[in-house]
Amino acid sequence: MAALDPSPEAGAECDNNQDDDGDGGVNEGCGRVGAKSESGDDCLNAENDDGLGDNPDDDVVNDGCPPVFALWVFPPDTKEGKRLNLTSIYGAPLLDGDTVYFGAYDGNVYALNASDGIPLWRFETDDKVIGSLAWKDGTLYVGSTDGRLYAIDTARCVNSCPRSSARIFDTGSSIWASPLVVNDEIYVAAMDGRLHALDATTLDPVPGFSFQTAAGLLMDPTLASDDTLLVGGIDSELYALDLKTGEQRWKAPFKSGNWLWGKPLVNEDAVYIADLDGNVYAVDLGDGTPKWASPFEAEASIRSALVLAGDALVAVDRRGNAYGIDPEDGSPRWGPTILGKTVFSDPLLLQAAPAATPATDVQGESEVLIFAQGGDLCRIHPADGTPAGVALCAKVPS
Amino acid sequence: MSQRPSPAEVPTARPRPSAGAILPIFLIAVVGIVEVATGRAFTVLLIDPLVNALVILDIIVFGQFGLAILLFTVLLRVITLPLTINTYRSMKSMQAIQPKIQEIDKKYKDPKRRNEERAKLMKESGFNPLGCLFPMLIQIVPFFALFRAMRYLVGGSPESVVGLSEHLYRFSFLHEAVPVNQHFLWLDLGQPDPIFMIPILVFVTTYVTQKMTSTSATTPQQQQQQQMMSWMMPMMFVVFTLNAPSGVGIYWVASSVFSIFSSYYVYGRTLNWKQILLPGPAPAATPEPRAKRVREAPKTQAAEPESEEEPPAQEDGGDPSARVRPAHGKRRGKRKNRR
Repeated sequence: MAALDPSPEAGAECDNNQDDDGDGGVNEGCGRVGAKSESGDDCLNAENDDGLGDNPDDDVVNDGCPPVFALWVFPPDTKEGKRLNLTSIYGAPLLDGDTVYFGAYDGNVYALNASDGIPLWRFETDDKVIGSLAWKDGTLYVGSTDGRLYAIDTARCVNSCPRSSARIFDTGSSIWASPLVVNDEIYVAAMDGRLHALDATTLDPVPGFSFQTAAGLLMDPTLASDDTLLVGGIDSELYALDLKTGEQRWKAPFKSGNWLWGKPLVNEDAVYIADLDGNVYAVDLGDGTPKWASPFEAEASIRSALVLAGDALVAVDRRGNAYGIDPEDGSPRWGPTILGKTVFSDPLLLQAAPAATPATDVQGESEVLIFAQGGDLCRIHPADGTPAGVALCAKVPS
Repeated sequence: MSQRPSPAEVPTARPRPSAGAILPIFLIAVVGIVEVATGRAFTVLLIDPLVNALVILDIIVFGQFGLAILLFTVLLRVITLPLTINTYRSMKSMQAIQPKIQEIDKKYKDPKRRNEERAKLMKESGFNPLGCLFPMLIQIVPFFALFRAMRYLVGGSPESVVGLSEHLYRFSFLHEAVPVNQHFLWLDLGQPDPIFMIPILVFVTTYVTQKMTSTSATTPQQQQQQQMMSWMMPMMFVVFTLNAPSGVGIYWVASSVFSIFSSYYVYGRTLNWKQILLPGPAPAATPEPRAKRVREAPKTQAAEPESEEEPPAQEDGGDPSARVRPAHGKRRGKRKNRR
């Protein structure tokens, strides 16, 4: 787990060789000047590393450095940190105020100080935590593969977080998907195919709500509209459900080629979703019919969610091939851009500030950040799939 | 004395691995090469059917995947039992012709002629050396296939589940059964055994199986190799199972136990449990009366290590009783030399 600086410097900030945004980094995200750029550890100091020596390249500090760098890393590289073995982190972290929460594959939920990554407390479940967490009014909701949904009262967690600080609902199965809070209810998808709607305060089942499929629900339940919920999973079908009753809204669920795991992307009346065969579909939210003549086919399975960046739908398959797709008809816009990394996590759209000076060459353009296994951060322009950084993928400076 | 070959002529002076010693390594190499060479075919023909078969068995045993592995092992070994027993019988017949082989060894000094005579004798007795491959093959090939299948079935991580989706056939009942329950007894079937019980059982069962199925050694070198292999093979699999999913270890233990029972069925009364369970070069099944060995052993077997200067094994052969050094052998010769 690393905290990255989300706001790069831009425009005139890139010309003065100062930490204008006060995040500890100088000129992060500023474009390359001259023939060479700085990279790696050179991006972490306030020196013009490529301007030194006999052949100085430019007079700009940290030109060409990534727009993000690690403010801190957890577990830290200390004696205590090395004792922790989180194994993996699959879910996205959740930020509330000064605290960041995340669940790890070691079965623990960690709360860290957002500014410096110092651990505040941890809560132990009986098995692995795969999905992301949900939050409502000081309560943290965690689904575990032990089959239980834990509603942790964070006010009762100070230096430690005992079991007594959480209410528990046992699904009797295993939970891989992230819980979803909508109004006063929380929705939990279980691997026995049941979708549970619970009162967010008491964790009592909501009367009148019922939905079950024959196979496990892998996909995070997603709110598609005010009253429609999308779920899917191992039976390869996408269901649109009534938020109050769990009744299906479409005449028949949308059938994909393989398991559905990546979170669907909803844009107006279209639902974009990818399956583990690497097919990308556009589905009409109104009736569940396909909107494209044929699905877009990636080379490998797609676990990550899709991102709509400008007028391109960006998909990244497991083998690290990134594609730009026309959201209107599913035709390829660009790609594949070969990242050469294994990708499971959801890409992130990063909008940069508009360019204000010609001194830099990549300002004002949005980027898609792709976090690959092994700690690489890949950056591409969503318009054409070209690398947004000096290198397509690089380790995040920390 | 004139009949005794000089050290340079003694073929056993040049260490030559016995078939039993190199077979497992050979098979592992073959399986590895086949997997690499066939690539996708190995997956389609072996991994995919295995993954789906295991899921079906998991359904049959009500979602207890550990039991599904045991059931798979038993079914596999029962189906191949007639072939296994034939192989053991063939190996037993090999032991029966050991005295004749020793006679050939004594009679023919020329290695080429000796090998020809040996081959002729084996052919006449109906022994097929390649038949020894089978028991190991039916254990090792599923072992490697299972290792791969486990990664998908009980890897437990999102990565492994993505892999599983690509290997399951498109029958809804198979998909409805996943993810399988990867907890069995104290084990997480997708992870190595935390208390090392499975590696210990792998060692014990593989060691006993090795001892029970090894053929008689005909030379001291073969004895040494057999002794080394009786340790090396189990250790090799222990190292493997220390890092492998414990479900693979369960398969190996169950399969080895099955081998022990089936070889007991074939070798039956001639088994010498003491020699199986105690480390040493002696083979498992011995046609000679046990009392004789016990009587002679104190006098002779505590002797110093074999010297290449004298090849008594060429005269004595591989039979355990024949391996016992005669009282008038090496020691007397040395005294003579000293004088």
